[in-house]
Amino acid sequence: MRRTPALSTAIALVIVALSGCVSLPESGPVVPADNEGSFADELGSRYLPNPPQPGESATDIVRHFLEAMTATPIQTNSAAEFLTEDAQASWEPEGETIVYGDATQPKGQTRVSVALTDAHVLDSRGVFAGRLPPADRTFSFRMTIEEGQWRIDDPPDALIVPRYWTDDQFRPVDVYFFDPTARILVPEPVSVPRGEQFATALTRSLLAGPGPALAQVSRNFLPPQLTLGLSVPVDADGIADVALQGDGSSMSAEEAELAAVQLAWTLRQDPAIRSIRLTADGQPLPGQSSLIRVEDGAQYGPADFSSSTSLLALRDGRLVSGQPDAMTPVDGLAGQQDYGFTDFAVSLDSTQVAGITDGGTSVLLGPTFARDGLLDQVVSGATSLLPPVWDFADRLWLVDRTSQGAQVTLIDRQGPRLVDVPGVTGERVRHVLVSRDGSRLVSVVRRPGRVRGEERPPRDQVVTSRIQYDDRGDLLAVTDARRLPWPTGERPRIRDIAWRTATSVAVLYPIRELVQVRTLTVDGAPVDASVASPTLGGDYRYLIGSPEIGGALFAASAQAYTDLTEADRNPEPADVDLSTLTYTG
Amino acid sequence: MADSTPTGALRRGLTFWRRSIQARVVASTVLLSAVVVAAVGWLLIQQTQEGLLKNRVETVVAEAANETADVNSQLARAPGTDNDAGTQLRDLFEPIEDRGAARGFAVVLAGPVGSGVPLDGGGTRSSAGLDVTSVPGSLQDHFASPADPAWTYTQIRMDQENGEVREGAGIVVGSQIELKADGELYTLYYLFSLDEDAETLSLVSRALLTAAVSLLVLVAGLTWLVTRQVVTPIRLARRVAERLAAGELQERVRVTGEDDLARLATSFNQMASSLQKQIRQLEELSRVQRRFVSDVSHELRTPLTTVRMAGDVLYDGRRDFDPATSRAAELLQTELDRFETLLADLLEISRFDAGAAQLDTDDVNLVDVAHRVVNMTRALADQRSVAVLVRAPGRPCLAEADVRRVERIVRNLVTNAIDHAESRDVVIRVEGDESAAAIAVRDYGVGLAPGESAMVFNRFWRADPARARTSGGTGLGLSISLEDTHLHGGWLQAWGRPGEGAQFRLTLPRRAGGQLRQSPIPLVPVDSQEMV
Repeated sequence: MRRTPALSTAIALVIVALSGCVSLPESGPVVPADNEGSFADELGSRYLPNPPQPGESATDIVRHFLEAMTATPIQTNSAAEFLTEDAQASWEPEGETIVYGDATQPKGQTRVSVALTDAHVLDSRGVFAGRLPPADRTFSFRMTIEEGQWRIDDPPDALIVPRYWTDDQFRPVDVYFFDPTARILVPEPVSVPRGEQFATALTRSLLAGPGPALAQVSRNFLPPQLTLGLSVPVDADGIADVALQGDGSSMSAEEAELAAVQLAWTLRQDPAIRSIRLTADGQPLPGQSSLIRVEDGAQYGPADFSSSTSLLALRDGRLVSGQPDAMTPVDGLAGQQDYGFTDFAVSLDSTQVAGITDGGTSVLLGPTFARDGLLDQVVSGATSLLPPVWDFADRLWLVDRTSQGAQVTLIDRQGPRLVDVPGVTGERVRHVLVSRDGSRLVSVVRRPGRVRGEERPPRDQVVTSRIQYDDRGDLLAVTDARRLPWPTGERPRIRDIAWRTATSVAVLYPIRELVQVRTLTVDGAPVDASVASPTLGGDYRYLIGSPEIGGALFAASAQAYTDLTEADRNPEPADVDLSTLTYTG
Repeated sequence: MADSTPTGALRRGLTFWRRSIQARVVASTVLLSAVVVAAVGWLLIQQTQEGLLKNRVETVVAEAANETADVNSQLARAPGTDNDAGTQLRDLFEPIEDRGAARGFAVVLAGPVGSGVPLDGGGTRSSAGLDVTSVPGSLQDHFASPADPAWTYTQIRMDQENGEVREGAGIVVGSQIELKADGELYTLYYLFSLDEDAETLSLVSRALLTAAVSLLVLVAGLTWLVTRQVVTPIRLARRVAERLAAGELQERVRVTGEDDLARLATSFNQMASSLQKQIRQLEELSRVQRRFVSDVSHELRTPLTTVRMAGDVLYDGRRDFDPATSRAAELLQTELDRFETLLADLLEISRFDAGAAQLDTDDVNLVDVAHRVVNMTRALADQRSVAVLVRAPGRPCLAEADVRRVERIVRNLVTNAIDHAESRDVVIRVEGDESAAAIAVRDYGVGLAPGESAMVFNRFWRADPARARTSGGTGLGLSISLEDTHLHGGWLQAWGRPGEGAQFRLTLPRRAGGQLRQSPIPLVPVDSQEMV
């Protein structure tokens, strides 16, 4: 009897303890988490500039401000420390990037000026916006004393960095838009930071679109209401997370697919990226799986649009194709019959051939592989026709060098018509190229070498024009030809040009007894110093190139040819029976 | 009277507890099992909770670390020319908040570190509905300066859509990030709810509790069954033993099976049989003895009558004899009187033994009886120089009794008192009330030695065997008185103490067959030293 109360107490205690344990803790000590995140900083050189030192002079502040903008990896916090507090709040260095070759020593006290030489501007998208006019190359910084120290009060809204730094930190790449018919991608060259920020910068540039100037040239299927958040992280599996903000549900499945193709082509330039997770407000775009492989959309490629990688040439007036050392006649009449072509072009899908006959006065056009029938004579009575050019839409571009200067003729499904190309029509045009996407017309124009009324030998200029279409692919207009700046002081006579990539051309010109092949980008931006400009000995007259990625580039003379993509560049004897070597297009 | 029922119930319960070995065994087994089960259950729940928490902490710390790594990775990839901290913080926070909402954690982004502004003081971004004070002050203090990631337990408070505040245990993990736009450190707190773990734990607890209760019920049932198997035969044996004790000697335990209990029953039965046999033998012996006494008494009457008649002749003619013969005749007469008295007593005893005694009841006033007996014994009292005093109330003390037998009892007591009074007074006290009447005879003689008061009623017992029976008592008087008293359903009790005398008390129920509860006169006299 006496045990019962003791037992009851024990049981009550146990139950209380039990119920006390069942609830989870709601407070406790602060415990260090030993599980650190697995984020590794990018390897590579780093540069964290010094902050302003007490007692620095105004000129030192400006000098160190310019220095601080070269922080590696790119950041502007260090540079911002040289600004007054008001200026820090309003400074927007992401507005543009001014790249200079050299800068003078800063001068002045309350106004410190710095003159830049050889400066050009990249806009916020990284698009080359032209050279800085001499008047704008001197920057004047208003200086103020804040808390006893000199600070800059009115910094320009730009990142001002030297050329050597951008060569290291920026990478010339392309962002991809579509042509107005949405059949082929149109690349636009940009220059964006390398490293971890690369994918973010590319995506931002793509989202910003081609700009109003290119409204009829290219289209962006990423709608303007979509914006990028903080950045595009790339995980260890190579998946880039493009998490857009904004409503993507209004896009059609076709638009979404084209947008995905643009993104895939743009981001595939980052070798770390293998696929893309594209979302808008957390949802995949309509009709798209959330994961896009960067290889997707190969059929929209701007350079290799259903084109053959074989060389084409004439042997005894008959069309042959293959590799330089093994050319065989093509199927069809063109391979059997000598039409008397002096020049020819085969359409990108190899189905049509256009040939110049009768000493450059007429053009024959017809199917390449037809086994019977004759080619149509589409042009006759011309003066001196340059080699014809095809684009992806089977539009044939012809340039006739008449006594009044060049006349540009377009033959499309509506038939032949004259096209006015400002800066080309009426000029002495030596060579002409049309990009496979049909968006660019690159010409070599021979200008009279008159300088201040003094007669000099004529010199050649490479000019580029953008071609505008409506959304059915019908030509609207061609813009003013813009001169591509020649990187060196001399103005050479150009022997030949050829596509190097979809956005660059190779130019062959003689230097004394030698020849040199230089690459120019179609936007006019200075070419990265790392791009080779090989010099060859020999009387090379022609360049044979294809804009395909990894495509070949040959320099050829009547006797020999050299593969410029090979490291040793040994000349090979040419098959003397062959003439007019070219690629499709 | 209102609380008598619970008290009664309690008393009945306690009685049941005292009497039922089955209840005690079941209760103690269940209690002990409950203690063990509770201890084991506590251990299990403790282990489960520890395991759950450890696992959860590892998971959430890893998840928070991943999120922070993700944030750092995003920050590293953000354009270096972005210098708008507000936009960058927003762009940083919104995806984490969305991911948190999808994965079930809340986020607080506070800073910059060193600004000294508390979490609820503005500039803090937090998941929708989260009360930022859910981040405990200790953790905020930890991150008041640059610090490594850390976690702690907390209570998470979330505002619900219906306006209520939901509270629950949680884990908060904090880590710091450096914002690219302004180069400042900001602290990210991830708050993970422990609701699921609490549910799991309560599920486990409920399962354990159910199991424990089932186990206890099972244990109780098993114990009850087992003890029932043991206790039932014992109860049967008890009942049989009770009946045996009540004289039903033919009762036996029913034996089933061959187990220990069956053997116990068999032994019990053997014992009962043996007892029955011996009791029968003793009864037979006793009967034979009584019959013998009765027969002897009867057989002695006839020769005694003859001897008596011859003795009377001799006694009547004793004056003609020489003195010695005359004296012999007188002695013969005296002894014949005693012999007759003895024989009458023996016959009376035999009638009691044979159960032949009958009561002839009437209302008897014990005061009258006392006076009559005093008168009857006056000669003897005078002879012993003893004064017999009667102390009676001034009212009758009535009892429904056989007056002849009551008178005989009182006479026996008074004679016995005079015998042992040693010339001191004998006092007769009479008392009565509505349920009983009593008469007590007190003497101040040698008294009784300890233990003798129970033996005085034995047949032929005497306190001092060497002492002569001066009063001519047969040694059966008190035995017959006791039998007479029992016949009335009364009490006859003796008290005595050496040197203080003795007191014999007769108590009779007021009504024949009535139950006696107490006597109107105390057994121990008021003038004894015991009372003083």
